[in-house]
Amino acid sequence: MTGALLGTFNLTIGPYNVAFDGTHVWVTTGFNVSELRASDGSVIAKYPTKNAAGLAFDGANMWVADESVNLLHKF
Amino acid sequence: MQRLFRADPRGNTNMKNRIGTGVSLCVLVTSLATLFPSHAQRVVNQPTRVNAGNGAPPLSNPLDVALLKWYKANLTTTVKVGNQPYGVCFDGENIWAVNYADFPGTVTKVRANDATVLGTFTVGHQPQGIAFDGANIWVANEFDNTVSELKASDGSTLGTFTVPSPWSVAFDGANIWVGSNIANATVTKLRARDGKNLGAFPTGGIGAVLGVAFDGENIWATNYTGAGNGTVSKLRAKDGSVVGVYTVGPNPWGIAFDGAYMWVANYGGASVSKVQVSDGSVAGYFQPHNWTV
Repeated sequence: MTGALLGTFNLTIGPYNVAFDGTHVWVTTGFNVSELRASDGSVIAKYPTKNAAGLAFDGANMWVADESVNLLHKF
Repeated sequence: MQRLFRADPRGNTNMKNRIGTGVSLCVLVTSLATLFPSHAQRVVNQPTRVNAGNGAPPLSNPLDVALLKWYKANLTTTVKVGNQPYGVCFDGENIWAVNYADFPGTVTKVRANDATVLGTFTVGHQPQGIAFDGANIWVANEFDNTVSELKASDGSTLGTFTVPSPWSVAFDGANIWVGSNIANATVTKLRARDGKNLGAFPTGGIGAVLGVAFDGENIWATNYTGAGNGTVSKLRAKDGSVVGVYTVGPNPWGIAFDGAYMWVANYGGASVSKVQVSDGSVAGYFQPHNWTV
């Protein structure tokens, strides 16, 4: 195992955190949460937030901490 | 055997009698129904909402179900938590979120299936990362230089363990790995069953370790600080030895494993990096794309 770099994908805003839901990778980018297809890194959806930070998957939904408004969002 | 109807030479007298009797019965039943309405008829004639009889709000008329109209719903659920939530984890049933700006810091436990807030529990100051070990919740309290262990079932504190400027947390099946927000890129290994410090291990990189993840065999740590592109480090979980240090984008922050690759959020580069972990083979290299996010 060498940890080879396979790709780097631009998001235009500095992302904080990432999580995997079994198919897609979710990325918090401050004003949005972006959903990327894990196979090729393409953005398939984005969801507006105020300042998304951490996130976690519960087996069915993605939960995102929106730190500037003291909320948890369930997607 | 006695017959109910006498036989008619023309063969149709009994039939006429039967029809006449049936018509008479129908008229009688209809008349009685008018005089004594059934339960369903009474419900239909009442207002659409009836008193529940126990002080609760009026009940909906169950017969209205056929009149329901369906609309597109906003499926996003929003839950109010503490001040400035940051790290989030799942314990198999509940979502836990740290509230960084509560004073002292807290964590909020939310039932995942209906978003009910089950409790808020005090931890140390400025909590950041959070992880679940199968039974308990571990929280990195950056300001206090401690890590809190809470029982997931009731939120009670089981222990508090010293770690320098802890930020990120991950579980490897037996141990808790904590990345520190200090200049010399270090991860600390705590034994999950008792919190014993099993050692602090340099990642081989530079800067704060703002993200840690486990790939089933190794711990991966992001090394945030550094000029130009940042790095991620791969450490053998069993002994903390560095397997490799790999270049990603600028200022790598969070990291997650998808079963085959590590995904790294490059805060300073507006990008995510996809790093293979299985055998180190290079499957491809992707130039940055200008996604509109």
